[in-house]
Amino acid sequence: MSRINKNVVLALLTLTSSAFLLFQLYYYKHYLSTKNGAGLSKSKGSRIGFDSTQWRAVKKFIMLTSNQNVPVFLIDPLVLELINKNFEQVKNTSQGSISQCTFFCVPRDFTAFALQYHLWKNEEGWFRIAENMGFQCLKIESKDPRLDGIDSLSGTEIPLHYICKLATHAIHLVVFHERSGNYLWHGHLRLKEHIDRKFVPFRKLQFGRYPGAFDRPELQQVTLDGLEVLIPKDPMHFVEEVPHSRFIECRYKEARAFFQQYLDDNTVEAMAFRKSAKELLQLAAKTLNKLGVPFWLSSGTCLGWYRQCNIIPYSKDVDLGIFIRDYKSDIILAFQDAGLPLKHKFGKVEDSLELSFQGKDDVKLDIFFFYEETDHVWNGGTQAKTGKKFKYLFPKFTLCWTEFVDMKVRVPCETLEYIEANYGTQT
Amino acid sequence: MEGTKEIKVSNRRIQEHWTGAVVFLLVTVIVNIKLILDTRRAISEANEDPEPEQDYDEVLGRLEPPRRRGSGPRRVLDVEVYSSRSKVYVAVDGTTVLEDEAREQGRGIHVIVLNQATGHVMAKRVFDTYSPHEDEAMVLFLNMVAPGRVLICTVKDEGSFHLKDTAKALLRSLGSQAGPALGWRDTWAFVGRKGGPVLGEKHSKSPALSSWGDPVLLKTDVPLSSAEEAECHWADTELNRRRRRFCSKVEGYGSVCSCKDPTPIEFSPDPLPDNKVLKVPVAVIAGNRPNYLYRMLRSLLSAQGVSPQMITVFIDGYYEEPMDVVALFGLRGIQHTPISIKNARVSQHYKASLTATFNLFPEAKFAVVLEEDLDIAVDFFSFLSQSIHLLEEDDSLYCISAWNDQGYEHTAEDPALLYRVETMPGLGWVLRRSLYKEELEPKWPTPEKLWDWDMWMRMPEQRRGRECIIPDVSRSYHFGIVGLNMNGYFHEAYFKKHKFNTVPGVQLRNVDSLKKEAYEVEVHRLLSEAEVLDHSKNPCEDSFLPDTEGHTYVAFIRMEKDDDFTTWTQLAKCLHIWDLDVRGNHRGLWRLFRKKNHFLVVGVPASPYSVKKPPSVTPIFLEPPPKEEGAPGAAEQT
Repeated sequence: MSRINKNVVLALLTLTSSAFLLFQLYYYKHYLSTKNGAGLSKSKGSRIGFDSTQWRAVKKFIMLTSNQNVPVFLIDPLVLELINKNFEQVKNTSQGSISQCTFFCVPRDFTAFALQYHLWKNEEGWFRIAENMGFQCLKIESKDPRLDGIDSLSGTEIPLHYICKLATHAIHLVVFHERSGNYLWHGHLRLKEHIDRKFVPFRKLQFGRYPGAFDRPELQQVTLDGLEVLIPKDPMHFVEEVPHSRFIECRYKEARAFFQQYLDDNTVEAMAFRKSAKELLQLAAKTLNKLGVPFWLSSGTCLGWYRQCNIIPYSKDVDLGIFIRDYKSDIILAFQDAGLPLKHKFGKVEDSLELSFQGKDDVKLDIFFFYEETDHVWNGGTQAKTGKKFKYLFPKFTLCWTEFVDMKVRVPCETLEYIEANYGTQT
Repeated sequence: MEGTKEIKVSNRRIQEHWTGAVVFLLVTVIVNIKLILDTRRAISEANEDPEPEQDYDEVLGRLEPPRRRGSGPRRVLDVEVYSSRSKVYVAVDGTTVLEDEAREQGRGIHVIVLNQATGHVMAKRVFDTYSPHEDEAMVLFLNMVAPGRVLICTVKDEGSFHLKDTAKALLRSLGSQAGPALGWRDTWAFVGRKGGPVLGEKHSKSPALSSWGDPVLLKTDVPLSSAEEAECHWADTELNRRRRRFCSKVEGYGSVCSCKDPTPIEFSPDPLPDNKVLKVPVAVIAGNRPNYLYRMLRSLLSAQGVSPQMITVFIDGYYEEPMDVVALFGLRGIQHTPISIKNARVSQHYKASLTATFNLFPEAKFAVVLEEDLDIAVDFFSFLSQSIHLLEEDDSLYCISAWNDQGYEHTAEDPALLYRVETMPGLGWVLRRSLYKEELEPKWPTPEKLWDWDMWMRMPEQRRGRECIIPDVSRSYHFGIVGLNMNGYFHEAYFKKHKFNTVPGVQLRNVDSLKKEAYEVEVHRLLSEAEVLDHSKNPCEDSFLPDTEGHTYVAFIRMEKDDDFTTWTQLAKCLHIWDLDVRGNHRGLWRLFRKKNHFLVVGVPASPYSVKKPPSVTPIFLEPPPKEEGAPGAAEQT
């Protein structure tokens, strides 16, 4: 009897366990479908793809930032490009129902947002609340480069990047800081030693490999995949800036050492020259930017930036470089309209072009055009008095942003090599 | 089928089977339940929340503090205190935390406060109780120390001469035996817990008037209490987290660290409607006077229209305590390594601070410059918001300042009234970016020049004929006593009776009449309607002005050239206003109030307003007193 009883019990238990197994299967499937979304939930009908981890992370992040008044805007190049392609859709879907997740449902590791630090009022509690909402957050801080130019100041560190991970997707929040010269700056994402290098695939980040400089974007509000997001008014302009955004600081420490050795020239004449040279540079930059011609500091002006972070008072002119491929025939006219008449023109567009404009107070603006060959770059110089021609060879270089006399301008990133090619190694 | 097979198998085996199956099933059940719970939670978390607000509240509710509970074994501090005629020192666990053997300084009672849980030095003070009033400061300080803290006192040289009964009673209440009986040139060392037991005391009486007590060395053990006991149980908020950090480090800030009813550290004053200075950065220039900084920041953060994120405190030197004060209020602090000495150092600190301010706020056209020893009026930003457009529209202006050099209790009256003056008062002022970047910064005096920055800014080469806008009633109050250029007497004479506006939201009158041309019209109007005073009377006498109210009077004094201030200086002296150099003049005209009447003084013939002098009136001339030595030293403002 007891044996049969036991068998009955056993059978019952097996039944229960099977029932539980079924439960388990059901729940597991349900769990999977909500968590990993896209593939499994397509059958659900109209809201296609809205269960992706990216969409969920972005949604939660936007919820958090709007609750906490963190003024973030979207800068993710991929999403901005998608927006550009589907701009009509962005406009049309601002009301009504959305049928398909277009922007935030591409399988990716990161979505990049940005924040203007000076508009952020309550930094303090934000982090903790993000973590309580389920984000795992990493904050990258560093010293404030805006204090570097000043001797011996040390301030509180400023936040440069936040990376907040929700499940397998991470939000990269790039903190933009205002700099002198009306531009926004973000820092280098440098991992401190104790940081877990596997926290997110850092190598795939779109921002932070180098410090970067951007024009201050105007913003607009759009609805993407049912989420209210701020994006740059001209998304493509921003996207185009990204690959050329690398920024290098002036070498303030070395400049201070230089001045300790040679003392700065603070005579009235030196100050007057610096003032007019600065104004001339500002005018030239404004004119060229309007034309869309990229330029960089060259020769003496570049040396002044590199060696003393300022205009060399005895240099008498302002020197700029432009790639000949960016040459536009209306440059001369544009400068004339800006009040800078052409003084000399050497060479021609095909060969050794150099333009020289007359600024105020006897300060000259020299523009050298650079010709790219396979393994080097060159420009031609002509001595005004003798008409003698020179050819200067430079190793290939790329351009970086920097800050110079309260302006955002470009310099060759490989500045020392450039200057040495120009002046020899005796700088 | 199963059953029939089972029967054939031995009893034992079935038993095994059965147990195995049950265990297996139980495990399955547990795993299942756990899985269900887990997935349920994960789903509900991951699901979009229809009400974000609710989500937010929930999050806030979950902000439980990670409290550190109970620490290891109770530790003991080994404290040494030495008191003698020429040297005092205090060592805690072998580390010297106080050592003073300098000659002719550090006289009196040295007080050190230790954190009872960590042993950290929270405050270090010396009260020269040989001199008057210092004992009052000591009483004030000791009363502010939180109960439970470890107090260490030691006397150097002499500490009893002006140690009055109140102070002695306080020492008695601390449990000291020798303190209340401290005599002339006695040595004394004391260690005790505030409100708790005395942990050690030594005392040596001076045998005679001309000699000192023997040096005493007190060695004692101080048991440390747990961190729990040392801390207050404030509600766990972001603000209190800051407060806790501050209060566990420093001592002597009174009720901000009170456990029961701590004073607020966030003030949220009313916003200012149409605030024109909301985005103007505020630079607070500070040294190592953390108590002043504390008082200053409190008043600044209470001013209507303040925006804390625009404030930066620049600390001259690597001092911790001022930085702690800055962190308490959640503000940005920047430290500056000293480069040079005395005045030149202050001047370099100013330069670095101003440059940094304009770098940090590249869009700002102006900066407000404040110092750590100022009280800020409740309508400070309102005053600036109403007047700042003048700096944009009028090139002939150098600055806007909140301080009227001549605005004393008896000479200032009208909070809605503004003046134009040729002197730069400082003490809470607005600087234009272009002025700084284009003119001042490039030629700022180098360290070896040893110049005062404010004196330099007042020089004609810099000021170039430009003027500052000031209010009749100052919007800042200079409370600093222990500064570089300050001593008690000087402060009493020149700053204490300064008028300070306490009325909120004052509407300034006729702000646009302060522009260059308009102001001339205004001055001419005033002079035309002014009643000429009786010039035969002594201008120093009270009766020089009639006992009226609301009238405008004018007096003419002799002023041969633009820089002849002989009579003015004498008049300023007898009116008890600023007389150490010339302040507050506008083209040979001074404007102030006497007995609630507007009182104008015109220097004849140098002032262009001399034309308003009736021919019959002879300008007043006051003889300077015969040269005598000993005018108050250190006679410089700021």
